[in-house]
Amino acid sequence: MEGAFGCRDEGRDVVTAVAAVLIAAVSAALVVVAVHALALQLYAQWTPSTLDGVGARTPRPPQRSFSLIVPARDELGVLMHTLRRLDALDHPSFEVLVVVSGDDDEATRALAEDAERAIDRVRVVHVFGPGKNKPKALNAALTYCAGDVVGVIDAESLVAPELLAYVDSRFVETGADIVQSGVQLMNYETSWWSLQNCLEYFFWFRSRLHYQAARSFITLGGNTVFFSRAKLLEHNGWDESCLAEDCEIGVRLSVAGATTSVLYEPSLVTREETPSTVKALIKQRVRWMQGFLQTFRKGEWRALPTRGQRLLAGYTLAMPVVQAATGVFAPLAIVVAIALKTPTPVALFSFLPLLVIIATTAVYALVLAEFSAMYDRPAKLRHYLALVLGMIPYQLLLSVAAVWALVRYLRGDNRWDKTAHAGRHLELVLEGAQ
Amino acid sequence: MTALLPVAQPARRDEAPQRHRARRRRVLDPRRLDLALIALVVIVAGVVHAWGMFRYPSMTITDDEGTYVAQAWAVVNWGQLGHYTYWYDHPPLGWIQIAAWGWITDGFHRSANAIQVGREVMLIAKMVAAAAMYVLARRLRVQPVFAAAAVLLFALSPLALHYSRMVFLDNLAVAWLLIAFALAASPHRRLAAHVGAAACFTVAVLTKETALLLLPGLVYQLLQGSDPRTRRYSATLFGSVVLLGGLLYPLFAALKNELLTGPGHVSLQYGVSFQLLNRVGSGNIFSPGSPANGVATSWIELDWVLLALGLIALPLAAIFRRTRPIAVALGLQMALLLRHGYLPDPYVIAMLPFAALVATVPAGLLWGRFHGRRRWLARGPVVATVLVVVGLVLPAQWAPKLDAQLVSDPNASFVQAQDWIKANVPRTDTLLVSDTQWVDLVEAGFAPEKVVWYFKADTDPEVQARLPTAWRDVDYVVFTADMDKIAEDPTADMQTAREARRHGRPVASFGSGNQEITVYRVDKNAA
Repeated sequence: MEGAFGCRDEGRDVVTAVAAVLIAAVSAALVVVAVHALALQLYAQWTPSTLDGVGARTPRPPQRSFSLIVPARDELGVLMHTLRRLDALDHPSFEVLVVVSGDDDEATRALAEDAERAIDRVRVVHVFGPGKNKPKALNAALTYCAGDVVGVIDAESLVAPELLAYVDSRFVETGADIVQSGVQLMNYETSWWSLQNCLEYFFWFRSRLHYQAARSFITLGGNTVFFSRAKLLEHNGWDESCLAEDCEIGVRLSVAGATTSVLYEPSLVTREETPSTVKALIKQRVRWMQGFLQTFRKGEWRALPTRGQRLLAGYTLAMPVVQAATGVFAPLAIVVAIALKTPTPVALFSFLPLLVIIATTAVYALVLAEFSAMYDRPAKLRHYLALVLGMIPYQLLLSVAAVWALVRYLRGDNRWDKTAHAGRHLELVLEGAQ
Repeated sequence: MTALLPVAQPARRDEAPQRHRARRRRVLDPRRLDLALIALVVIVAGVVHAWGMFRYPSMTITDDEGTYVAQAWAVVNWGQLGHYTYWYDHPPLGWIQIAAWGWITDGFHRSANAIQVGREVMLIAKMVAAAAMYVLARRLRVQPVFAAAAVLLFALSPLALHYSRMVFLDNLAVAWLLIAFALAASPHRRLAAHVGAAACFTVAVLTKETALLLLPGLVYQLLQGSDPRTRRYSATLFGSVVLLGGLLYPLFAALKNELLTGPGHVSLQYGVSFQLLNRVGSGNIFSPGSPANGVATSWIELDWVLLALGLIALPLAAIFRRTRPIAVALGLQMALLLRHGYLPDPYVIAMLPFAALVATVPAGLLWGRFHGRRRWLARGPVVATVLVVVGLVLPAQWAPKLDAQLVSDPNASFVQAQDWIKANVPRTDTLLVSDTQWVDLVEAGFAPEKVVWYFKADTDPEVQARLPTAWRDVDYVVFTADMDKIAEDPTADMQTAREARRHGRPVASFGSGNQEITVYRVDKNAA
């Protein structure tokens, strides 16, 4: 007689039993990961008071001085425009240091030196030698910085004119050592994956980083991030061997007790755009994920004082790889459960991750509406459709990047691929000299 | 840190110079007062509920208690959703919860009879409901005294006590619903609490589908308790959790190929359409003689005070913005009584806690509303009502009934009948019994196929296959007073039981009137 749960009374198939346990365990893990991710995406909405804490308050009169470092490599069209814009920032005391290669990439160097002549604030710093990467450039510039606060600005980003005034106020109000201002990818209309990418940044800078800052463990972004110069010097600047130097320095300084304040205000975000091709996106992700893995492996986070912080740290650093798995494994778990005719409760349980993903999709649609209202870029029906249909394919993309990053990490391959941007018409992806 | 109750922390003062004042302040600490009152009302509710809960009400009033407990027993012992084929009449989460308790505490072995296990779960549900009611009332920002009064009204009403002791799925659903309302009223307007409210509501619906009636009230509470800026997120997550969680039930059916009606198998489609369409209407609640009127009369005979107070206070609850959600919750349920649809006795269960809240919370808000002389214009009526109710009505109405409910033993005949059967009927014989007796007889050694719930002998093809010559295959049939009443309806599905009785003679009889149970031995050779 078949029981109501679909398993035969006459002995159990061992394979089905083992599969059932595995599926249940994997499904449970997937549900936990997916729910946790969704909860963090919505951190800003947790209570009205967290929402209040995310944005900017009226700035006070400026008190600090700023040194803005702009690492430049292969920036042909964009650099001058960016530097002029930076020069026009509304703040009484700041300087701009452009970092260029001293022994190759003549074009950019020439451009930077032109700018130095044209704009008072701008100075050029030269980096020499093999294995150039962003952290090396930043460290080189750091020695020349004179301001109280050192900020990192990417050459292709559009910085809001009042940003420094607000950042200044944040430093003063909170006494923080680091202020991270929001970066936002804007071109969600370009393709189905650029839409997902933009929303990703929105979640990251509007919610997740605030959550991390509140728990004094933060993996910083690499753009429009501002440090107290004293703190930077105290900890010898950036790690030149790490592919995600921004994440790494955030971890290292957090462990040392530095406090961070995160600021996300639509009128103040630094506007960027998505990588120009899927391949470029994946390469960018590979670099970040590998950088996260390096930071994880480096182990400084283990020195965090409380267990909760260590758990958060370890999970955050391993998370990109873990999360990419969710989108792939969730449908897989269902298919396997049904194909192997596991007991009905297990099969039912295997649907849970997918249900969480559906709920997440509904929330993302809501966020897309909020985003388009916030930035006055109305989203049409086809964008919502692209969002819904693109959820799992995007996770697949990230999974590919995660696997690739893992492989590269295990092979010890730490070469630096710079991401190409469509602001120019040339697509150059340079690999650092061996 | 999550704040359970919306109380402000009192300012701390230096110990030495103001020691006396500080000490007094600590005793009257609002937080402590709340904790003390919650403990008090939960204990009172628990004690009143538990005292005599295995004796009153009688377990043979209806088959439902036995059915739910038997299904729970089947979950624990057979890994099945029921002792007979599960046909989707109700979602199974309710008796799964009873099964969990039975499994954890080995209930079916340690208890004198199986329904006791179910009634223990009802006790837990009552205490949880009491705590949730108090928290909800306090989150509606009414004084602790009024919050406690709401719980006490619910805990001491004879009507509430009668139905909440019985093993009904509604009691479990009500506990989850009250938790959902309390979460939706989160003082810090936490998104996590709103998601929790959705989850608890989904569990309530999967316990008893009629919990859906409370959805408008709950959604109203949620929207009222959310900040305009985060409201969209609360609503979206609430809707997602409820829809996707509720989807698990049809998904479960689909996985077993029992979603849509088809030959040779039960289906969710049939179960749902049966509940919604095939039930005979109970008629107009006001016309004497209709089943609805009978049901309502039996409620009022148990206790009219709580429902009356709720009804009278309903307009006041509608006036205060804060109490409108619970007014909707109660009002909608009361309004649906006017429908001529099917009205089961346990329908009243979900009305009672909300009636208690509606009766007390607006009064409390009125109490604290005005300042100066005008205060007593509002407080006067409240004081007068309390004096009349507590001083005159309750002692006259509740005291005698409660006394009977705590002390009397209408269940004695059932216990005696079971003992007689266990002692006198051979284990190889076939019995037709009400579901109330099923688990105990199986636990006593009768084979599950030999103990037949009489209802299934006329409706379940598998059972009918085991009784090819119908009543002639039966050795004993046991009739409770409830079965007698059902037998009077010629269209009721109990042909086999009726025929068995007609061809049998009574060999044992216990109790009288509504508690009568008679055992008949079937004479197979009779014409």
